[in-house]
Amino acid sequence: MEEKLMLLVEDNPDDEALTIRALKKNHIGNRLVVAHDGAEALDFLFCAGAYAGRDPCETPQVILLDLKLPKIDGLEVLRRVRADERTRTLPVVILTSSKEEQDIAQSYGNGANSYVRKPVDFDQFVEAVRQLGLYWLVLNETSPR
Amino acid sequence: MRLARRHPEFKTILPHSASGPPADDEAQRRAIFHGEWQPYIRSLQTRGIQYAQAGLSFLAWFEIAGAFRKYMLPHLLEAYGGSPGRLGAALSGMEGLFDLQLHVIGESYLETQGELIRQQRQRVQQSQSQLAGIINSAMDAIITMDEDQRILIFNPAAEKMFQRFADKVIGKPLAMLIPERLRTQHEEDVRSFGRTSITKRSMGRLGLVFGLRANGEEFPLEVSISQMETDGRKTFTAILRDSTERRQAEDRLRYLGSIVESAMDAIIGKTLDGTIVSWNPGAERIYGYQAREVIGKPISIISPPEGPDDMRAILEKIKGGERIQQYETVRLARDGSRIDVSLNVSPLRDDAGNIVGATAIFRDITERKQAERALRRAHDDLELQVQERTAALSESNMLLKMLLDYSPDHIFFKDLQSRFIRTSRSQAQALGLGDPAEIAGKSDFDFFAHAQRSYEIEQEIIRSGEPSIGLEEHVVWPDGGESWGLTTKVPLRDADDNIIGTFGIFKDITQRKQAEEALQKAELDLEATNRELEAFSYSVSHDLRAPLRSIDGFSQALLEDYADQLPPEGRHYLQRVRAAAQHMAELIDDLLNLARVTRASLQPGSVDLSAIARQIAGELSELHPERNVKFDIAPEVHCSGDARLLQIVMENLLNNAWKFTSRRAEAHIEFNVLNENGSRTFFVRDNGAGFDMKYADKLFGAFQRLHSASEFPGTGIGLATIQRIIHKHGGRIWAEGAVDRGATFYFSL
Repeated sequence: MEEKLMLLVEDNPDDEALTIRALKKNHIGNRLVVAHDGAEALDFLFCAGAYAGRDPCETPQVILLDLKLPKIDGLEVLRRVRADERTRTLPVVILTSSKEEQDIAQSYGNGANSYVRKPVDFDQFVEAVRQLGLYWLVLNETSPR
Repeated sequence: MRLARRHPEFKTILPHSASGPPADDEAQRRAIFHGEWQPYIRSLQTRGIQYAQAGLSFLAWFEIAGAFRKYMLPHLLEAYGGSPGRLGAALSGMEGLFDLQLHVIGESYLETQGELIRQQRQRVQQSQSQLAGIINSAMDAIITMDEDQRILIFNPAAEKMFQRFADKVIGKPLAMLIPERLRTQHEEDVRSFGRTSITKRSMGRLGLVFGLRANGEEFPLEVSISQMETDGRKTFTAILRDSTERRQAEDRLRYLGSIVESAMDAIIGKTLDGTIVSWNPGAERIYGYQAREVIGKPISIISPPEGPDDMRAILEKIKGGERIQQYETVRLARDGSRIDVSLNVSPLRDDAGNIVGATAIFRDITERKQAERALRRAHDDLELQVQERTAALSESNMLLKMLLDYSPDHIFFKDLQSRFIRTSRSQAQALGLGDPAEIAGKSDFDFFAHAQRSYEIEQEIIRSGEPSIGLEEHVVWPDGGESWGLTTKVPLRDADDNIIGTFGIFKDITQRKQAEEALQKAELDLEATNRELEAFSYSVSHDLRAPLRSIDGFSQALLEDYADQLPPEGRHYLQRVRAAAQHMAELIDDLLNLARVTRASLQPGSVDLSAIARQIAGELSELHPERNVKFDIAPEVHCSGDARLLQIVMENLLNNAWKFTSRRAEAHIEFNVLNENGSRTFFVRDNGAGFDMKYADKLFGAFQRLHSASEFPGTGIGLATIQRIIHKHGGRIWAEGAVDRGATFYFSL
């Protein structure tokens, strides 16, 4: 079985490191691509910019998307993903510090598949990542292409 | 004198023959004695001719001669009586002379007679032509008829009157000129007239005489008829005059008379000294006296004793030829009642134009006077009403004046051309006028650069009748000052509901407007502050937590990856670092909650508090199955409020109760409601740690805690948040408790 690709959009290196640690602790060995801002994420998804030579057929199994991002923020990334035919059906999980109602509402309003708040307690974070991985990478069947 | 008796026409002659001879006859007689009788015979001859002309017969002539003989015989006897021979000779001589002279006279008489006949015939012709002239030129119709009443003469006037030509009626019966209904009667009248010896009479006496014209029209006639008998045959001559006009005049007189008779008004004639001479039925009716009772009496009988004494004055004026018209006074009736009359008096003149009396016409105006009096009473009543109304009006005028003088709002009345009629003192002052009266006739154009705006509004109100209510206006006064105002303008109507202009009130709302603007600015500021706060909260939410995650995460990483290199104390410190980080995360969340509650707007609805309580209790029991907590939740407790915020309230209260009963072996938590005086108080009661009431005021302050974190964990923000929510609902929250005796939190909404 082909190794499934995950796209993590995260500007905070600490969070990036901790997320990777949590994935590892849960033995989620999928190939992980990290984009450090919204623009980079979109370049990756649409094979543009630095990712122009990428195989466009290789789409991530799930996108873990932070909301507060440099350049293009998470909600805008989500909007563009949903607006484009190629990425319209990609599962997008919002993974963020905020539990502001407006963030949650706008995320779902723009077509997020899930909204997970990063807990401060690392044990809880690990547990959250475990469940996410289990669900989106194992249980969930993506839309046929 | 037999002769005179037999021939009355001889009277003129006889004095010369029968009475004594005149003085000169004596000389004539002596001349005859002396044979000088030729002059006498000539005189006789002349007389004889005169007699013949007078129509004396020849026989009469002999009688005259006989009379002469008798006349002369005494003289002869006196002269010759002494000698019979001489007397005899004288007598025979006289006889002979007579014979001789008679012969001469006879011849002369015959001659005379022929002459006479000629003259007679000539005269007859003359008189006939005169008669014909008279008949033909007469103004009156002349009709002559025979005994059988056949028409003989029909003159031109008759032709004109009857509209028939003479040749068509002459020889025909008279009846054709008489209306058929009267013919028999008329015939008989004429016959009976013929039987009398009366020569002439007026036919009017026999009754009305009417003629019949050829066109069938009847007309009244005055007729006089005469009869004449010629050669034993009677003729009747009628002279007729058309009396239509006269009859009309008579009719008019009769008509006037009947007016006087039938007039409702009293018509009284009186002499200049006031004696009543005529008294018509109207007077009888009005005054109650019969004409026969008062004619000849003084007019003063109808003058009331108490006056007015005006009769003398009236008569004086009449004497001066004046007329009195429409003079109203009071008169006395027979039964003593007073009668209001309107009087017209005119002088009465005789044929020569002298004023001989007065005709007074009295009209009974008692009823009219009564009506007038009633009218006057009504008028007086009306006057009273008008006075009352005027008083009311002046009162309302005064009120209006007060209003206009003291109203801080500008009040104004304008005409159809939007010119001011009246204005309040406040408006006049704002327009720079000393006296509000100066406003009359001016318009907004005299004061405002923006006058056109109000002009158009007012004209539209006048056109449509629809008021303009509460229009907000910015006004620049003549002195340069500016105001905001609310203007209401309505149509001004007269009593008949016609629009005669506009009435307006301008309320200066500058201060309110300024306050509104300040408020608006404050709101904008607040909004900005809120936005900043929101942005701040957002940052806190995202950015303050991220480092905590790093602290906690990497502490855990250290513990996991390098546990063997750390002494137990070091690992303990790392645990405390993690606990602090996690506590801080809780604090941040609670603060964010508090901030959210603060700025959240209420979304009211119906809330089932019992259901919320049951749900929370269930979750707590599930989370901590090891605990033994008895929940006592009243069913069906509903309230109205913001469901999301009330959820937070219930969560906090029940979590607290759960937390502070953690040391109770048998915990008891109750939710219920108290109904007192129509207001409801909800409460959550527990049998937990409780609190000291002297710190009760600190309970609801942020970060205020009554227990140490080691005793009971917490941030001290929960109750502060609840209080905000309750206050937002306009409610109240308070607590009762005692240390180790549990606590009860009450709230009302």
